[in-house]
Amino acid sequence: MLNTLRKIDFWILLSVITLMLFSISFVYSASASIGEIRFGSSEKFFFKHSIFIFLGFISLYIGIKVDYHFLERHSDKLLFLSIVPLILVLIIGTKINGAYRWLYIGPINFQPSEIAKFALIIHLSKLLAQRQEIIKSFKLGLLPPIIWTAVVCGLIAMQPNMSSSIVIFGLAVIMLFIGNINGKQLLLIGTGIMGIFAVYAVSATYRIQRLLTFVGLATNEDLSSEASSFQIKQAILGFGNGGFWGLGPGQSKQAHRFLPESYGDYIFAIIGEEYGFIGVFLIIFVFALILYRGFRIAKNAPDNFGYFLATGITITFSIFAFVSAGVNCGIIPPTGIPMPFISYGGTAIVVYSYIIGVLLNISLQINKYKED
Amino acid sequence: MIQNKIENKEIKIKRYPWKFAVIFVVINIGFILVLAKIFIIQVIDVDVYRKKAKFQHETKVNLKANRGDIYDRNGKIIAATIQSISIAIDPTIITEDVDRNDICDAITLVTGINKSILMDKIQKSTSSFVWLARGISPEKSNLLDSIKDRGFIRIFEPKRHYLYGSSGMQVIGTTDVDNNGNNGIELSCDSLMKGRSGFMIMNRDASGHLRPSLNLPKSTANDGKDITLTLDMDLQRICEYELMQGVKKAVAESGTVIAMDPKTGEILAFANYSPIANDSNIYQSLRIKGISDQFDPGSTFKLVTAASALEENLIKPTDIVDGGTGFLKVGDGEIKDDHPVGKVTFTEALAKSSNIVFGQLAARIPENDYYKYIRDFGFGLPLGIDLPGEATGKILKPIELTPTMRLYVGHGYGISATPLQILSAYACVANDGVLMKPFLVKSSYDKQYGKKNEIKPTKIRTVISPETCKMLKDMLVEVVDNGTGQFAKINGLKIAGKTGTAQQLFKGSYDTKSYIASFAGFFPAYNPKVAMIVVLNKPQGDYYGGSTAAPVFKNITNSWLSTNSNLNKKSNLLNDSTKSFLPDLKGYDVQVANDILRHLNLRSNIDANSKGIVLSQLPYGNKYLTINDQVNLNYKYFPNETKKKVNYFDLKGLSLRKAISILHSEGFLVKVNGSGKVISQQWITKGKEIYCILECN
Repeated sequence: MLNTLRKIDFWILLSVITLMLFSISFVYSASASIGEIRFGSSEKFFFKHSIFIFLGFISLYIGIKVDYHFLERHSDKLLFLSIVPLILVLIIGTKINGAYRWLYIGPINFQPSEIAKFALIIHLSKLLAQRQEIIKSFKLGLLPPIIWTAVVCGLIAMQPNMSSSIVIFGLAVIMLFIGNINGKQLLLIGTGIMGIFAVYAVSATYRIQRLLTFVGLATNEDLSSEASSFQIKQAILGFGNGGFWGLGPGQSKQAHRFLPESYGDYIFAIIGEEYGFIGVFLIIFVFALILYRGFRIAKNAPDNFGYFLATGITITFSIFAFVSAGVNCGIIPPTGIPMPFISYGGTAIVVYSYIIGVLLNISLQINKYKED
Repeated sequence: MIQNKIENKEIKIKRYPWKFAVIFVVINIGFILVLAKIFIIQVIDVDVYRKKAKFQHETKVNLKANRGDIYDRNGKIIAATIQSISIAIDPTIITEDVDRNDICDAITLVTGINKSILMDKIQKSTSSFVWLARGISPEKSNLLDSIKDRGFIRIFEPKRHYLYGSSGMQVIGTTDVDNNGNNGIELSCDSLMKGRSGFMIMNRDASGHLRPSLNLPKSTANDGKDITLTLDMDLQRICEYELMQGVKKAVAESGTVIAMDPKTGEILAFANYSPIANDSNIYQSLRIKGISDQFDPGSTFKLVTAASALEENLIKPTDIVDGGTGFLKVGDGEIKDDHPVGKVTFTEALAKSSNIVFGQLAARIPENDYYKYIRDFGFGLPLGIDLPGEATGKILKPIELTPTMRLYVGHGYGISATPLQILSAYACVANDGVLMKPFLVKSSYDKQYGKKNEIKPTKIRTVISPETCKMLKDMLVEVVDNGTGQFAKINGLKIAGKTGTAQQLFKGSYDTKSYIASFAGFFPAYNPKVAMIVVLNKPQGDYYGGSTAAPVFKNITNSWLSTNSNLNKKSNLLNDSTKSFLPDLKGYDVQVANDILRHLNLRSNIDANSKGIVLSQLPYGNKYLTINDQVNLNYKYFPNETKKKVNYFDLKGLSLRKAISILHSEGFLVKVNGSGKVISQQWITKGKEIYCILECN
């Protein structure tokens, strides 16, 4: 145990535990008012979230303990298993805000895309690690990972969940870039697929409106059916109300139902209101720290798979954190992306914890093969 | 397979640290952009967003101040604010006719408002808020408590309640549904009584729920101040009653009575009556005629002419003046005396009210002096009473006061004045030549700080000397004792006064059909407590002030004397120390009656052990006796078990006030129909209680 602690990347472990513990406080104050109205108990979300954080610690421990090569061996099955719910959700999923993103199986409800994105990253890591010899080949090097990515992103886009789809595609492209794919081919494919996305983006009026509003070419009135612009306004008001030092824990006014999803996608704005610019800065700093330490693990990973997996995990966290923060402060068009470890998220917390555990497991094995 | 894997591991890929650097930098640029944007929001533009947030999160809740109460000079409450309930409905929520019907039924039951009117209101409205009834008193609204429909809106509103009903309503005024003063004192003292509303900033959530917070600013409401008026509500009611009788008797269009304390200018009563207005709003006419009506005063103005001439030593009361044949040609017009006086003393000329004598006397007064006295007595300018709508009246400038004009002005024509101005002139004489500013608000009381603000009487100016006043008082007493004012005469009480019968300008000429009959005076003449004016507008038939207004003056004085022990004191009533005025003692407790008699230096058949209520007296009341005369009081004691015996005594003819005091002191319950004097009585037993029903006229 002590040995483990000495070898493990202490910074990431500390950061993640800190974020998880603080998220209990964040979620509590962001959800109390909504919980009271919706369930008659202001502690409803707080209790549920605490339980998931507890489960998160267990899965974090499992991630650290289990050798990450386990994932390498089973990555294809894992990816297959995660694509099944992606299809299922389109058939039997629960429609929330016009999209089939959530799957309710018994007491468990989760977004299949949360699991699929990690399954994809694990499988891409394996493909890239094993095909380095033939990586520059279009047919054998580029096509297999691109096909898997297209399947996963396509299914997610069908929910429809454009934003997650684009972000996951972006993650895949970064991984291929790190994986030494032929640059010209990558550029070609990337541009082609981005083109498809672009066509898709303008295929629905609400998405055009959303984009137009974001770039300032349309006004809120055009969005009467869409609450997203209102959410952004309320989120920014939350930040502004917090000021430099914040109003203090539990003092958020925006959480009193002015900001919908205040405990979920827009929790960052509530943090900004309660903890001020100081709080916001520290959260971003912690994510940047995870990015830095994650890359360090990747660069020193004992093998190719570890190298790609650590990279994938690290950028997934950083990019999702960035997109969520960007949506909250209005520099990215509004999309429903929760902030890793911070938002109230049920199963997402358990998955994220496990995957960070995996990253830490890689860090434990950094010097394993050097000794050989 | 295994071999493959190992081989794969052995083919270590080329690791490019620059790729990590690029990604690290790109993502961090993203983070920095986020921080920059948030920095702009949270630090640079913080005030803009804080302001917006405040607007969204906080809401101002008004805390209503309670309107102050109004009291009369004896501390009797006149106007108070009670909590009432107003009912509105949201027709967009209550859409079913059945529900609407039920609600309207209930409101009709409580308020008596016609149901079809209510239904009409609802059907016709397109808005989501329709008032159905406002200002329902809480005890009545119990029936509505059971209505729980959403869309049935109950609003608690303060409502002004006037405990004396319409009595004094014209000067006291009214408030509107929002509790703002509409007229009268309610309007002129609105800012005093309204108080200062407070507010409380409360936190608001998105659905409009309010939460108080200690950190947010609040300002408590300051309740309005209570106001004590100079009015005496007992006198007010006496005046209103007697005025009504007088107006009816004279078949006049309307009438006004104002009573004032001449020493201070305090208005004691201010009554107005007009039979033209229908019964339900007798006193509701908004115009306060006593200060807004202006008319040619006629003979009552002779006081001013007499005062000017006496003060300027142009004449003495005993000088002989010549009224001639009662006919004086002036240019195209003429001045007439209805009863030619011939050669008489100046005092007699006033007592007989000779127009010619006073016209000619005025012509002798230099125009500048005459103008000065008219103005100094308070004519031509508002007196500054604390009521809205005071008229100025119209007087002539010195240059317009030509000798011919003075012939008319001398007996009260060619100028105009309000009843209050005429009264103030008489009060000025009563007060030894000092004109006081008339006022109605005696004091205000701030309940919150326990601070009382007394309003001091204001002296306007000294107009004439006390010596002149003494002469005038003698002359005015002569008017009542032996002149045109004899109908105002009361044995045992010296009243100084003057009648007035003035033709009114109608379409540019003086109309022979529209008169204003008036009587102005004060009593007791040599220690005046009350100055009073009675004005009857357009009496039909007998239009002389002496025969229509003077009796009203007398009746008011009489009724008042019997209720006001302050005036009953011997010193107030009589100069003659051998005489004592005996009031009507019916209805008084025997011991109280005995005290009164002792004050009056009269003997009685009452000893310290006597108990009971005075039923009758010998001699009868309201006359004067020689001191030490014996007054026999017939009284009866009614212990509780012999209540029925009350039947034996007759309450008929007693004023309501006395009848009630008799019955109450014996523990009976009283039901009253009508007001005024008791004309019949009836006993009813309900369970253990015995009621006496008094019918009054």
